[in-house]
Amino acid sequence: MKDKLHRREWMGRVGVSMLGAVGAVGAVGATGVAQPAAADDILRKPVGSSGLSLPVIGLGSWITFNVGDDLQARKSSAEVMRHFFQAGGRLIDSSPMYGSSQPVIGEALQALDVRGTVFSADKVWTSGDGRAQIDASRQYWGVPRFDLLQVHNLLSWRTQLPLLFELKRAGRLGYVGITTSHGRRHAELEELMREHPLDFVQVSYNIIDRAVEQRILPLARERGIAVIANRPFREGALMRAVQRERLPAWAAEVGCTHWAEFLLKFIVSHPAVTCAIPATSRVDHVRENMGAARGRLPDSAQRARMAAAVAAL
Amino acid sequence: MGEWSTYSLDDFLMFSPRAWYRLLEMHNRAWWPLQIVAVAPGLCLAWALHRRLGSALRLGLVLAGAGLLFVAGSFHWGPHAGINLAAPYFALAFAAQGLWMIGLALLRPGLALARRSNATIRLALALLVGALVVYPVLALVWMRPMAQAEWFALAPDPTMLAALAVVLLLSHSQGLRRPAVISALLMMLPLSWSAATGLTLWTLDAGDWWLMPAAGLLACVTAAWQAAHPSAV
Repeated sequence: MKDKLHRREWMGRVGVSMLGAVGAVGAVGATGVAQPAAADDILRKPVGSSGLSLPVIGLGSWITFNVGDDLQARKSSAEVMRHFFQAGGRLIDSSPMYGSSQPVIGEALQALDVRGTVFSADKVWTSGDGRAQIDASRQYWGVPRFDLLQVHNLLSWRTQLPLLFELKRAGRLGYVGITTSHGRRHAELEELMREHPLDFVQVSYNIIDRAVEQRILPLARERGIAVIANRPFREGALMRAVQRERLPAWAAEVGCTHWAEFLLKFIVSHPAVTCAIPATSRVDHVRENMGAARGRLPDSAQRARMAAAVAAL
Repeated sequence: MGEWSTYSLDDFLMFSPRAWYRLLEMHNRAWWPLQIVAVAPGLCLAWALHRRLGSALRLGLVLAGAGLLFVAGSFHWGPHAGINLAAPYFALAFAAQGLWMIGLALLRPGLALARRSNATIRLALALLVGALVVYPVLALVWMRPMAQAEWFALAPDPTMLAALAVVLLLSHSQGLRRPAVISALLMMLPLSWSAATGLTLWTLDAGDWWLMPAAGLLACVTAAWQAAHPSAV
């Protein structure tokens, strides 16, 4: 058992090192402008100055992967993940707060044999024993260590943030982050971004909810902090609203053939945003979402036009 | 306070409608044919209540209490906990209510239904029939497969509806020192659950979200009216 564990850990570390190398191939300059990677045409953005770059579209798991013991739904979740990885995706985000999402992800990772490909992003969400919770999460995922751990919604950050930095120093964690959602506690988040050497922040950002553009995104860019955008579709409400309308004809100019690409490309074309993490339980949707990680991204004038078009609907 | 105002009901819902109805379907499949077994004594209770039999109250307390205990252990503590972090707390609340109701029936042998035909008994009977017969059929009304129907003693809503019917009867019982107070205390969980499940189903966009809150409201109004007019029949 000990040997097996040791071998798994060793293989995991080799995997992480290889990922770092792959990331370096696809890395972009300090401008944060996404460019196609050499190996394929998926758009990536850099994670600070770490040398790692990530595809601009990740995969969230809030609600969609919380399917309990439903074998049929677990198979569907694994299919979604298979298509996500096939399309070049890497970052999957979860939390102990997401019910059965963690074991569902772990089961699929094992079945798909992609533990060397995934960029595992999870969270610590407790005012109690963070170390025990992280260990439980790691076992659910079946990974030797997490690539990224974030303090979920700033809960007990005074206790949990030092723990995450300690794990990173010990080589048991790749990156440290902190999350908030729905535009809450931005002042506190800003303070933390200034005072702590964070690698990632996760915030709510979409074509309607743009409060982070004022201070958080410029600060992230200034300090080289990678940004994960959650709620890109406002938990589906935004998609339901826009799908009643025709996609503007000029959307093709920004490389969009459907609304999912339109909304996601708006997000990831912000220079400070590293990736967006739409969640879905459908294979056709994950395919559409991953389409936003290919082709060109809109420039600032085109972004303004996109925002105006949605606001006018 | 400012931050809490930014939350909406959606923020507290951690599963999809599909996950919820699949959960009910798998639960039904796991316990079939207990659905039929549980409804049969429930219909006997409805008959006893219709005939105003004094023993109907103790039978109802035992039956609804056992249903609550079963839902607590087999549903909330089990598969529901897989998708809802609050489910274990629901299990404890359902179990406590169930034990209290069974305890009352066993420890108060003189407890009996007051033999009066009044609004409370009629409403309790209607709620009981709703829990046993109407609730399962609602799946078809809302275009869901019968495999996802909600049954007394297996699904939380019809079971709590039956419990609400029985504790409503307690306010008109013989053999308790303060029946109105005991009834009011035992109604707290069913009423809280009615509100909570209504909000959850509303957030899930379910067409029947209003049923449990409406039943709870009706029970409250009837209990209050009956308390104000104790001699009314």
